Amino acid sequence: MKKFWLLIPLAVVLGTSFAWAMNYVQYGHRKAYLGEITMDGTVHAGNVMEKLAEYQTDANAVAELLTEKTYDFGALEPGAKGKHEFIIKNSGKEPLRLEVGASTCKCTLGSLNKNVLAPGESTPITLEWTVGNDVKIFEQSAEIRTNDPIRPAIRLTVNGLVISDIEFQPKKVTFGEVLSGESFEFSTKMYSYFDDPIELVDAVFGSEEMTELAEFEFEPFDPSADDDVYQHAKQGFRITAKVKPGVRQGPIVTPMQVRFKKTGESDATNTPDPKDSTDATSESTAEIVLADGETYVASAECAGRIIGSLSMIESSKLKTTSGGSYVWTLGRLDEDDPLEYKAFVVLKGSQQDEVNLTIGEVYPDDVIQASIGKSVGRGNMKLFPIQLKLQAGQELVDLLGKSKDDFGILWVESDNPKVGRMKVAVKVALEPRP
Amino acid sequence: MLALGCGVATETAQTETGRTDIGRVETDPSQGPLAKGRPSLDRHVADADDSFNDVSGLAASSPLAAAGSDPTSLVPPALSELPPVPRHWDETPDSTRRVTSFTSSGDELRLSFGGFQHESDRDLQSQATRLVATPQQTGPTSDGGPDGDSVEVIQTPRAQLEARGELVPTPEGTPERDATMVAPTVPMARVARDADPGKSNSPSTVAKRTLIDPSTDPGLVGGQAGPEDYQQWPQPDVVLFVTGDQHGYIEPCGCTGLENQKGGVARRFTFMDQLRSKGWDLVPIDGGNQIRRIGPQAAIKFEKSSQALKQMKYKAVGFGPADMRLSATDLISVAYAETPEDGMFVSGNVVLIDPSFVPSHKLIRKGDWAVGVTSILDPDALEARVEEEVVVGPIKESAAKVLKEMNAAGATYRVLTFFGSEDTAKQLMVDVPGYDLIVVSSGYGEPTYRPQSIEGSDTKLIVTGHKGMFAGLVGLYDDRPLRYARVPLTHEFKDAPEMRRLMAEYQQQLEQLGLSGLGISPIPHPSGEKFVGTKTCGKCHTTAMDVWEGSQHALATEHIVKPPKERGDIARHFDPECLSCHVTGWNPQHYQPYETGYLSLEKSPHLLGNGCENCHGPGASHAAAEEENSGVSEERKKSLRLAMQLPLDRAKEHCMKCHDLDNSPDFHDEDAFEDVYWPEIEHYGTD
Repeated sequence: MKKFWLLIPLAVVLGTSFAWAMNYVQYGHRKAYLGEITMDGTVHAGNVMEKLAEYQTDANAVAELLTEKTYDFGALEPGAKGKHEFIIKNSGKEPLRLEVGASTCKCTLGSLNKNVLAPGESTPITLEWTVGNDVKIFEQSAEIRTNDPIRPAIRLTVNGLVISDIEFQPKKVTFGEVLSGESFEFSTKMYSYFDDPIELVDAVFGSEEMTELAEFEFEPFDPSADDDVYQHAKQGFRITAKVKPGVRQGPIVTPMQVRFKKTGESDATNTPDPKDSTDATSESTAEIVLADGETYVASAECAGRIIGSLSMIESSKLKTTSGGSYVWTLGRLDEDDPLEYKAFVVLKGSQQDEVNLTIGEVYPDDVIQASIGKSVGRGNMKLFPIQLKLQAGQELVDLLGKSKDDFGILWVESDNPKVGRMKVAVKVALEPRP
Repeated sequence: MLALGCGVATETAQTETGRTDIGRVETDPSQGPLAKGRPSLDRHVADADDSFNDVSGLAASSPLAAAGSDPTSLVPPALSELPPVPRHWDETPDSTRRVTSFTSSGDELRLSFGGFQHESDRDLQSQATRLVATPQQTGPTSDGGPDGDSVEVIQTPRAQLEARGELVPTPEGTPERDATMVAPTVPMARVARDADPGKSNSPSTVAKRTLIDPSTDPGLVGGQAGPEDYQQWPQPDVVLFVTGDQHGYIEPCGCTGLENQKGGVARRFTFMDQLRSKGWDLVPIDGGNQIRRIGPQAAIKFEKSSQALKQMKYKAVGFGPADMRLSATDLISVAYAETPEDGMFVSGNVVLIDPSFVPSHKLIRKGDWAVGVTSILDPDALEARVEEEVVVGPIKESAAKVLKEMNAAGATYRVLTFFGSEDTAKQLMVDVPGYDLIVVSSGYGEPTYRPQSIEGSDTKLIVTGHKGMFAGLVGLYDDRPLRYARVPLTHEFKDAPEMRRLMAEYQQQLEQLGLSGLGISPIPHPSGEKFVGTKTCGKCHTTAMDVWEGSQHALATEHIVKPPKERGDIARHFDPECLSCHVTGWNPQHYQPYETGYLSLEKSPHLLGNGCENCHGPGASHAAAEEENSGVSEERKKSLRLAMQLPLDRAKEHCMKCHDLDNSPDFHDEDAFEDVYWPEIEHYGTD
């Protein structure tokens, strides 16, 4: 019986502890999260509503924008400065407080006293900016934060087009990877914003080699809604460059320079300076240079690569050489490094379906094994995975190419005589493995 | 321009208030029953978010949800019918508490990929699938479940104590901008009873008030005015580290002073290192568009930039339109990974030759979180048609498909990086409900202070800004709403040596390739003239020569051979993007040498510096004509002299070819040319 009385408090203690632990696990470890109501005893049933009211604003300030919140500036030249005023009015009965939030340009809140707008009062909000580089469409915005509970933030935006007298679309022309020995062509559109009509004379590449192999076609058209941001251009020309086979293999970066003349009434005040450039601040638009007093030059950047039928996808480990072969640099491999590596052989050209690739001679064949897997492809390109397996031995294998021919070699062979074989050098050192 | 392409965008001169509130107590209206079925941005309220796909329609059908939380929205149609019951955070039935859908996997990072079919991934996916609760399994949701006994509650904006001016989150704790715009503070919170038209003198106004979503929208004046200070955050479960649209600005070159340039991978690395040292679990995500130009240098920069992201342990990276101007093989060479663990690029709608090369999404497991990430590139954002080996699929179908895949894989938080316009992104989230967060790249300017709400969608939207100047931090919590902070990558973040080494390798690679290896060959000057070098000009124009020699223009090449101060460790005189403005005889806009222009230090010692002919044009004919006994007629001499003249009213435009906004923002200040720059080089013809 004595123990019974002891058991009672013990049960109480245990039960309480257990209940507390359960409660703590379920809720107690979480930080109280009761919004305006604090846990320090200062908020109680008697003053809760009064306390909550402290957190309200009864401000009857009403921010009314007397202008549209977005202003389309039309077109501006690169580097031009712009400024626009929006008007905001306090249509409420209490002071309207304003401040500038996240902005992308200079934003000035009129000349307000402490940024407070009295009821009925209005103020200009000025956005100023400089049109930046490499943009086709400019947009600047400023966030005006208010104490109007309905409109806590107003985002003011100005936008428009950045245009020069001559624009290209695309401005950077890529003709991709072209198979050596095949012709290729690419095109771009040239838009003129000159008041006077223009006439294209000819075009050249910066690369004389390409110019000699190229023919240009100029097809005039009237810009329309299909031309999107350029629909208001005065004239449009589709310029197509057709390049015959013969361009040497390798990367090409060259400007395409289009020469043109104005054919309308000559405006003496508009006579360009030989070094004048109407778009001097934008690399993305055409440069216009007077060449001989009456001919202008506009240029667009072009780039691409002439490749052979067989190539490999380069990586940090696999690089091409000036001779067209490849070096697969695997470095020194210790016993923890993997012995299998993967790369991709690229087969380019219209005859790809008639070509089978195999691994030819491999040296040293007791160290290097290679296999070609199933290809995947799209368009005129097929990719063949090539799997390299290395065999480490009891002694160091050094194929790091410290001296000539001191590296591994494998050949990728084709069964099509039009597609030549390809050599891949493997530079690797294999530490002995048990 | 001075090394355009390596410069990082410069801060504008505006001032901005930078404050955060202290001791703010947060509630999140999204957590009430109104948030039924929405994915759990906030996790402490029960959210059977794994089943959000099945109930998203409910959210959309809710009057308030349909009205969105846009503070500028008007009264929701059915607002007056809603009983004014305040939400209460612990009202949610326990059965609807967020299903801890994963076993105690600890904090170990695990990844799985869409598109890859590795055994380990299948295991993970099946495990995740097993553990994720279905709507049936979770029982009634926070809205009361299908029994329809839900209680509609009016949203209550977050309570916010009176804000105090506080420093904005930069490493040294200095304000992001001068805190000159601090306005009188006005408490912003209001309670549910405000929504009762009967208790207000201005029913419509009060009713509209209830639509403010302070967890995402900017809040009133006197609320949290500036960006959040991430340093005050409680330890997040997971932190999404969000960047995008680097646009070639891989490092600030220092042309205009490093303190004036934001961004760069070296600072980003340091910042991430700091966060990791705090014990934060980062999930770095990039929206793509790492480069800007075309050609081999762009491909190399893409490779190096991707290497940088790799070293920073980025988990998911998308493609931008400038990236897509590279060839398919260039892209695969960087994007393809032999193992899913090594993979970084994801895309829901870009296929490079075959879908096997780039997975559609990635699932990153951090503790109890399974963050699914994918990326979508809007085809309308492309400047030009992509190669035939590349497919860019439609955005809506692709986003829906990959969302389904991510859900099937067990994603509990779904992130979409989107390259395209904000408007398109918002519409996409309305059309494809189910993503928790959309990260939009391509907008110009700065990221907003807060995530944006999307009308008609529960998805939150943040933007990355342009040129990689900011990093966005999204803190995810199990027991509270997400936190978001944008952090400017200012000079206060020291350059990480790891990234500096990478930049050095980049320059070394350019040196090894040389101009021909970069596909660059000299082009004829449009005038047909040839360059002779500044010293030749100085034979007659002695005073002008003195001025030039005393100017920074004369040191332009030296400044990239031995860059000053912090950039002194890496020479840049093999980088065409730097050379174009630091030598004589290059086209500064196309980064190409003219024939007879500068080629190398050895071959072109007479063309060092930014010489006379860069502005006045190549002067070979003029110089030859002025030689004694040249035999050139006086009329021809006059013509050639005239051709070399550059009137002051046209000079400014020429200067701006190099002194552009990125590399010389001060040049664009009012009267800066007339008052500062021109006086430094003022010269007039011959003596």
